[in-house]
Amino acid sequence: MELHFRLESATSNKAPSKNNASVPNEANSKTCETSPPMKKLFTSKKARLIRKQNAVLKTWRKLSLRAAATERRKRKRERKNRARSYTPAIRYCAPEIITVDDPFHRSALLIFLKGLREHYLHHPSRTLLIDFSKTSHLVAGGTLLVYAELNRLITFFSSGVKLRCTEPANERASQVLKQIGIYRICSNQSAVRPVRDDVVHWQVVQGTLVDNSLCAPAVEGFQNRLDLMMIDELLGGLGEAMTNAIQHAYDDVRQDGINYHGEKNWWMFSQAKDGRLSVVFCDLGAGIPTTLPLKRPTLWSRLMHKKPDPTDGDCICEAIIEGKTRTGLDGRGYGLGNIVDVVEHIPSGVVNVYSNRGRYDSRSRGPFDYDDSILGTLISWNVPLRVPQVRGTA
Amino acid sequence: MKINLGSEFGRYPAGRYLSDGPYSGQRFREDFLVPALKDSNEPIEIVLDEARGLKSSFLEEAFGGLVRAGYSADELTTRLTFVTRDPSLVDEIREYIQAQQKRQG
Repeated sequence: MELHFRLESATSNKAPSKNNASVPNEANSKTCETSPPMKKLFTSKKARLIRKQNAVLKTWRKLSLRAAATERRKRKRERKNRARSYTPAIRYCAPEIITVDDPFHRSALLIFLKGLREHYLHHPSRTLLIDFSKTSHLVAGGTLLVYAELNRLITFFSSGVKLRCTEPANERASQVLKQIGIYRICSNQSAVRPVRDDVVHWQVVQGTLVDNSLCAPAVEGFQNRLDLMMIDELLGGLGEAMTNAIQHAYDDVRQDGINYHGEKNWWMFSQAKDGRLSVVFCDLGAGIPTTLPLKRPTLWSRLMHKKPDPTDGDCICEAIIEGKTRTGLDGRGYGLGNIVDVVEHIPSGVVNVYSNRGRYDSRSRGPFDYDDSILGTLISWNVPLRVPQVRGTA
Repeated sequence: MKINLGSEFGRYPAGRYLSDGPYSGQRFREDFLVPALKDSNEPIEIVLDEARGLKSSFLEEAFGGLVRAGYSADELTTRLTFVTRDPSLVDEIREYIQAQQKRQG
């Protein structure tokens, strides 16, 4: 600073600006009065000072270049370290058809879901990449199971596995994933817009209490295409399914290797397609066959008497039949029976109850067993839209 | 006395116990039915039509639960009347009351 001052002073002494000279301000004149008079420098001294200043500048420049080089080297080292520690995402291929009905595709779906659970258990630090590229068909039941499983994993493992997904090549499948929120869960900024008529009516609801006001908009939204009794029946079935989920499903441990002690969640989808309304409800609890001996010992012992080694399908069937006949009133069942009653009097109405390995289908009115378990309970109602009123009014 | 289930309690009653959810049968019984039965000896008219999705868990806990709370099936049958377009609902409620009475002997 000192050096600059002197040099500037020397320069200004030699060639004072016209303006400064003609309009001296008060401050300048005061400075002139108080500060000692400027010393006139010899040319040789001035040159020496300039040389000195240049030397300082040169040193400063050299130092700053050296610092920049050090910084560059440091950044390069960091980049190398990052590259060394980078682990690629683990890719899980979603099945081509996401369904729980067909045994082959169901197996593929359940293997895929098992993979997701194992990732959260064994690779929590790795990114999970769901590859939907081959997925072309999403059936409501299977899709709800995927949605519920992902939701449960994210809620339980709040530490946060990075979840990503690729988009399906199939446009409709991509729109469905966007509509139901799978892209949002996977932080996928897809530009796809759900516009198809068979996609925009997909609705998702979830909860932890018996509260039909959550599901009502998904069903009552079709009140111009469903008669009042049917809306009543569907909401009643949903209410009973929620009650079962909250009261029974989570009383035993789900056999998935994750010791989940979270909330008693349920999930619901509704979808209107081809003149029919599908309503699907699921919980990821222990399943009816697991909770039946604990919750309904009398029913269980009766079943054991009839069939010493009952399958999961037998358990579901027995619980439904017992519920349907318990009140002794036509169309007024109890518990699971109530859930099936929903479509009892509706021509072409279908209800399916899946729990662990078993399945009850209202069309065959019998049990069916698969090789693998969905590890939970899934109920699916399918009713025609625009049907006449079926029950008498008072 | 008149109780409108749909407009006074909730449009979507479901569930059995208080812990199940906000519109459970137990809550309806404790907050509406029992006080109404205690208040006077007049008949009580319960309007069911504005409520949606009435099923067994709610109905059994609300009305069958009255027998467990100490009211006799006879008294309940005399004092409770129902307004509904679905007569099977009334049969179901009476069935829960009678079944609970039988269970208690």
